[in-house]
Amino acid sequence: MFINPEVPLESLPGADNLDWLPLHPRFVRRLQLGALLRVLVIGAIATVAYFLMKGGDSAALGRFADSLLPFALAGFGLFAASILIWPMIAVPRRGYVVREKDILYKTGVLWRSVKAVPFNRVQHTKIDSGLLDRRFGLANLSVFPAGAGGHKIRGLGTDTAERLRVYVSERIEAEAIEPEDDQNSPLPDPQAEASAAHENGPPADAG
Amino acid sequence: MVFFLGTTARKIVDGYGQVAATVGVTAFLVRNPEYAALVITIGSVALLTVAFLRYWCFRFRIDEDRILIREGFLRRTELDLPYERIQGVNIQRRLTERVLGLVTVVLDTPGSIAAEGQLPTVKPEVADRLLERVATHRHGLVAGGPPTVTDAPPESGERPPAAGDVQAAVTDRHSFRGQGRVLQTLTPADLVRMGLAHPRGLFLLVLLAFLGSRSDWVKDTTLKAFGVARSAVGGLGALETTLVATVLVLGCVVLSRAGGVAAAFRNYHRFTLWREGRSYRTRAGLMTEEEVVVKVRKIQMLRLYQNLVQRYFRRYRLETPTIGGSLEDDDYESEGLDADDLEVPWADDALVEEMRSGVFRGEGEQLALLPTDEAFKSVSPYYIRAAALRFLILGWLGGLLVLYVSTWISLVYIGSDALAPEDYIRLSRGLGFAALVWGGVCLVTALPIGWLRWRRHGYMHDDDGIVCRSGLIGYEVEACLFRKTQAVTVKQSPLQRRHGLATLDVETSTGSVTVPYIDHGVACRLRDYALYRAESSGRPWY
Repeated sequence: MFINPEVPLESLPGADNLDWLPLHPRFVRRLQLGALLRVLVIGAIATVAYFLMKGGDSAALGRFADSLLPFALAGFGLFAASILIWPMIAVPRRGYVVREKDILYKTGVLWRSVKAVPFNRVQHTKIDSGLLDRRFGLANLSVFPAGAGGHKIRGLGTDTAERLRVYVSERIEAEAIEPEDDQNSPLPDPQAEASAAHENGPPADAG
Repeated sequence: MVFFLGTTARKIVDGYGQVAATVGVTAFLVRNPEYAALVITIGSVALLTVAFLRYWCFRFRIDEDRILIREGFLRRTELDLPYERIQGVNIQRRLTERVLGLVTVVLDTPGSIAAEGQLPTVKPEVADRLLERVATHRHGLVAGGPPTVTDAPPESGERPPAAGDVQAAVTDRHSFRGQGRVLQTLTPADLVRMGLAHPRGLFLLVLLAFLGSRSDWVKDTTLKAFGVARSAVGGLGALETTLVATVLVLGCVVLSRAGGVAAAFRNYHRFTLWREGRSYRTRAGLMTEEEVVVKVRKIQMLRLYQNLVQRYFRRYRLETPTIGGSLEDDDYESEGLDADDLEVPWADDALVEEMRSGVFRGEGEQLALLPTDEAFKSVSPYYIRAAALRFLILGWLGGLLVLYVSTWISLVYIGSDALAPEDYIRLSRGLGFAALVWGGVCLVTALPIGWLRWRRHGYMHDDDGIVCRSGLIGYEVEACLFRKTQAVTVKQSPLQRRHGLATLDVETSTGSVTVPYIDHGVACRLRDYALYRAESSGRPWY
């Protein structure tokens, strides 16, 4: 029998005062290195474009390029400085919490968001790490619920990510809702399973 | 390795091979037109052969407990579908099939968006037999199954639909009238009204109303606009030109309305909505009659739309997105027909209420879907400021973009050398003036628009679900149950942080209910509550 006792709102576990776990300390360096590479590539392209305009036949184009140069330099400097410094501001404000029933992730400096995904809704998880991530010993953990956008927690230590993934997978198993759960039959009954299957399908495919 | 080589090669052939073959054949025909007859003959013979082979190789067998479908000549596929896995048997009739008295049976299975099994163009009796088999199979299961299945209280409700429903549907299949309770049928008059409300023509209708109220202005504008036409026709007086212009505008409006009505007829001719046990079923269509069956349990949320014309007729469009319908196609291999979402295009107040209580089934009793309901709480008035600001910034940015692109185009078109300095000045003055006017318009309309949006925004929740209303001219209402939540987000912009506000985003697998600018504490409590409901719910959400 399905029971659903009333729970007073005040006693609900709140997600306001949590100890947010920080990302890996090397993650800032990794983002800065990525930003530096991007700055170098964009700078190289801009330089090539400048010299192409300068060296072309049209004198007007050359003058145009010269007139553009201070703005371009200033803008580029600002851009480079901001994307180099930004990780130092943004990364400390990110964080995650793993609770028994869900996983929370917060991001954002100006526009902040806190997102929670219950484990019993997670369809699958993924770990990926790019070239730069591996160089710094980092990995990204993604958690996907059905349809909705899940978490992509970037900048975890490789072992942390792996442990988290294992934990999340365990929690998914533990929290998985059995189809026809509310009929308390601990013994697997093939016929009940069959009828459940034709109603609900295995949870793994139904996503 | 061989497998990947094969698939890669096939992808390339599929992508480019067809194009190449078509181009090649066309080129060959252009070069040697005398072979046209030969090519056409070969082509049609090949077509006929392939069609015949496919027909010949398509075999199916309806067994006691399963259906076997075998098809393919070169690449044979055999589908073995136990009745247990069949979720629904949908029936579609294309125009040719209706003329010939045949039907296409589409077998829905869980786990894939695309319907897996399809029996194209079979006799209705075959469909009946299949339905009967599936029904009796289920019946046997229910009867011989554990008593808990049949004894389950209705509110815990995820049991198989009563076999009686399916059987009743079987017996009545010939007359092609569904069973269950008919909730709505649409008459041609409804369809005409629906066509009028079709969004495509709405703009023109508004324009016409506006023009009608300013007849002097109409004359001037149309005279100017059709100055080119007048000079081409020549000799026509101002009166005639106005006449021509009016006829043109009227013609556009009538055409678009006719298009809307035609679309309504094509999609919703003889629209009928049933409630059958634990599912809803619709059937509609002029050429291709299509049946959609949606299980109540699969419905993730309810979406209600109302535009101006629909508001005039007091009707709504109601959508019931289900999990399969909205997933990205590339997540799964989708072949064949897509599982469709059920849609009620022309629902009145009573039907909306009926659908709400039917879909939420005892949960969310205090929720209301109708946008005029009193229970909607408004969001914080700071929303006006934010919405106005957003409109202003977007408007200005859009204006800048248009200005930039038009300048660029006109400079390229005229050629910068051909312009005298005074032309430049005149051009930049004109553009500057246009920019000023546009900026001013944005500035003046931003606040009213923000206010309108704020007035439309509202939300309510009870112990089981949450509803959010939004819109600018029309309404959009989205509702979901907390236990179907997939993720919950609380967002704060700098402005919201300063005033202790937040945006709550309750995501389901088919979209989210977003409540902007409510108190941060309320948002957090609602989030915790939604999480609690999702995490403690023992019932499957799909």
